Amino acid sequence: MLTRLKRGRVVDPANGVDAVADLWFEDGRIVSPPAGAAACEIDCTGMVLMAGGIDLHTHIGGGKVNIARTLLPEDHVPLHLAADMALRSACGHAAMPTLAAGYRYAQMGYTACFEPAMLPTNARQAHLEMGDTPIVDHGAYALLGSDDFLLRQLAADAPQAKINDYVAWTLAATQAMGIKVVNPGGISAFKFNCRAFDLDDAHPHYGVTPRRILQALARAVAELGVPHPLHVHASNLGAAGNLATTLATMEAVEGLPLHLTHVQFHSYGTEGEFKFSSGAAQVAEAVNRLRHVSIDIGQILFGQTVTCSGDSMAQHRNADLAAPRKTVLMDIECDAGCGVVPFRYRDQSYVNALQWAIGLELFLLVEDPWRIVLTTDHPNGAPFTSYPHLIRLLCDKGFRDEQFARLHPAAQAMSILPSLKREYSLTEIAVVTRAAPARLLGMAGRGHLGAGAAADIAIYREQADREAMFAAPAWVFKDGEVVVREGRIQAAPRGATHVVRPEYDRAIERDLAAHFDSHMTQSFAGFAIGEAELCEACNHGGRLHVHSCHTR
Amino acid sequence: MNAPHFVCPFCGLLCDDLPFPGTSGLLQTACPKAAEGWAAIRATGDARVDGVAVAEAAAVRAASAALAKARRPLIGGLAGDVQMMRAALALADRCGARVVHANQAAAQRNLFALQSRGAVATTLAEARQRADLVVVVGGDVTRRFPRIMERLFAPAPVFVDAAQRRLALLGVDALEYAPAGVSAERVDCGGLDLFDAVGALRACCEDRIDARMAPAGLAALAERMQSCRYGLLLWAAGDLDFAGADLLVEQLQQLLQDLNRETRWAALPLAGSGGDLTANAVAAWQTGFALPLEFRDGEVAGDAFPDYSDVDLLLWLAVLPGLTFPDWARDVPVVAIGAPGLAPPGARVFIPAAVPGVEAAGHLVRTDGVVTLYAPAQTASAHPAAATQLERIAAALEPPC
Repeated sequence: MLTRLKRGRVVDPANGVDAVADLWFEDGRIVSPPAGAAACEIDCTGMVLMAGGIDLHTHIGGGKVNIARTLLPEDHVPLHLAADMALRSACGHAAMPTLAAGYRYAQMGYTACFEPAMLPTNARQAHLEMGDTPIVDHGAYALLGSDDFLLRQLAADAPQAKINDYVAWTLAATQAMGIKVVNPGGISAFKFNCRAFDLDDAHPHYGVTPRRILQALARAVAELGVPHPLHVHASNLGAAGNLATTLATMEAVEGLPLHLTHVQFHSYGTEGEFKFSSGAAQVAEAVNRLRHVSIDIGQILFGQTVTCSGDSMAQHRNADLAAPRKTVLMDIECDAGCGVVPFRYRDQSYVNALQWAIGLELFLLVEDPWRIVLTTDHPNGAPFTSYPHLIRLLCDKGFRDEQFARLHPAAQAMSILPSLKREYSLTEIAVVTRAAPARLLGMAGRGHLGAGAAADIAIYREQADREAMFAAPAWVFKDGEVVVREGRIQAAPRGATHVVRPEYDRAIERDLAAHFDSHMTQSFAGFAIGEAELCEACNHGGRLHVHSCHTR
Repeated sequence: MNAPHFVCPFCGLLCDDLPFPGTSGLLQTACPKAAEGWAAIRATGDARVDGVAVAEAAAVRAASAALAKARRPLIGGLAGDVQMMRAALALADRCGARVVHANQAAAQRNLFALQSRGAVATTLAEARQRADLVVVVGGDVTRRFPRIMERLFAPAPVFVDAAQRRLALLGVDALEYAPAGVSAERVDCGGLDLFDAVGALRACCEDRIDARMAPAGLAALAERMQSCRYGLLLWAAGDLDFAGADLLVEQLQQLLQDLNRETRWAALPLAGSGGDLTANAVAAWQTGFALPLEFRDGEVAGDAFPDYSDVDLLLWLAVLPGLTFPDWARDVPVVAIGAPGLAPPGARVFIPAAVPGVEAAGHLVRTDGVVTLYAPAQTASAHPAAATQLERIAAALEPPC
């Protein structure tokens, strides 16, 4: 059905547009203004039109999230969705179940979400969970870097071509969109009872350093032409003074593309009375200077949440801070691990207050919005439902100052935040919430409103209060279908799965089969997730988008 | 074309290293639990209503009518795959049903401990490759999981010298299926019951008491637990069938947390048979709640201490064998979807369905809760999958249910 969205303010930074205009779409795609009349017209006067939001780092599916859900029955607040829309009953807050996550993302105008830490041995569960996440498109990054196969190869000085084949095989076998590394080598080192692991430390068993792991994986991702840079959760998460590790990590890959994730948790100095200070200025300076680096923030916001991470080493360190006091740690299958620690961020805690300020300092000090993505590392910094609040903090200096004045006084004294006058424009918000993540993921047809793009569209009533504006879009379209109207869900179509499939030499599978025999407890023959299994069994018949890789 | 990869669905270990033995229970299998499974199921069976064989469509209509009439329906059993559980939850949501797995009591022993104190856990491969001390607690886990020792102790481990590995039994006399080449040593608890023995172990490991005050066997075990490189606690909640077992698991988890301050330890709580981990995983990811849970008035909530005295219809789902039919349900009208051979006694309606991993493809969650396997169909099926049968029942319901 040809639809015309009339006279709205189209904010489409990927195409350099911020103007009142009509937007047309038909059969799920944006089209150029046609000669004929529209079958459906929607008056968008006073409204802002953006492409659907894209969250490139949100823990929505997989083992550790399901542990968090199970661990915290007290977390699950009912959503009270209207029963007459044939929606499923749903509830959730921080450890969001799949149904609630799909509904709540759509209600905020988001139309695609990426699970950033899919363990290869847990990939089936991650895809099954994402398949049960309604409305939004989804995909995941396969987690490597503490898996024994890679560490064995690096310890044996395997050629880069073999690493590349392994990485490509992993992407195909787990149906992934990218590669993530978490505390490179550190999850494995923790299994050998190592409690801290910095960039140039040698692994207690394999002797390999995190630097070497980063270089091998960043090179593989680049040489295979995977659009999304290596997605890096750096060493020393959450530790005071980790700033030095973060800066060294950026330099370690020698100019290869690198996406540093939840960088707020990695921007800490050791100044001041409490030996904990903001490293935002130094990190932002490095990001501004190093064009190969992109980041997402992992902003914290105050309140109860739960932290779910593959970084079992860091989470073990945090276990005594758990609130409520219960932690789950797991070592996983010669592959990785995880840690789940419930946490309540408090504005009267010096450390938490400064973490809040550090995230915002990074947002405001990084100059190029195309290399920064808005995230809370859901649910680790805060549930994703707090994005509208975060957007207001970025757009409204007066509001930001009011919130800042509530912080622990010593934290206020240690932050330059009040001196940062910058307020994000709507264009910049559109960049950091859709256009930049789409570009960083290589999703040509998403994150913008040019002809040919998917008709994933969020229409917000323009309001000075940006929190109210972004909390409840007037309309949300997914592939051209109305999914939300005035905050109420109208339809819950299946989202598509997004993957990449670079070419590789299948000779690697002989080595992998032998590795499965010696190390693993399932057979190699049954490991890979086939396309039919993915689409029919995991995703209820949903579509598959295979994004191209451009080999260098 | 190669034969499809075979995942044995008959216990939570989901072994996929053995060939498909064929559908007849008479064929040889290396595993007694698998043999039991094969013996319990039949390839074909009739749909029945009130004991009379009918067409499947008629049984589906009867099931749907019974469900529509029920005021307090319960969907139970739940021995099946992910796809069955998805369909069961969708139907329960529509009908305002309660949902519970037949292994609920055992599952809650681990669940309550998790929800009050957390957990330290590991998976099969880590356990096999690393553990230099394995302590089996509270029961002979090899009766429920006959191949567990084989899978933990063979082939040789990668990160530990095979000769260094020790196996201790705490509150267990012997193992029916012991590992080859590793002797199991029974810990002498000096007459203490299991609760007190674990309490004494904790006290020794935390240096809260002089080890000489504890029974010698426990003091020696505590010493070894603190000095090993990677220890493994192994139990099956199904074996801990006594009051307060969740508190024992909580004690074990706290012991692990204490030990991990200095060395590495983890638990491998064995489960997953009869699809219990599968059902709980799907329930948790869709709703947030582990089983049991309840849908009511467009909301879903956990139902940790359920009272089923007002259940007026039980929809019993069992396409995998091994469930115990609950005593409280003897007088409740039962509609069942199951593998032929698994109809509960007295079911008013029985709808046959395919066995996942044998006659239908399905996803199943393994004992460690991490590895989900895809179990392809091995043979053609005379009957649709349980999920399909549930969807047919839902389709035949008059709205709103």
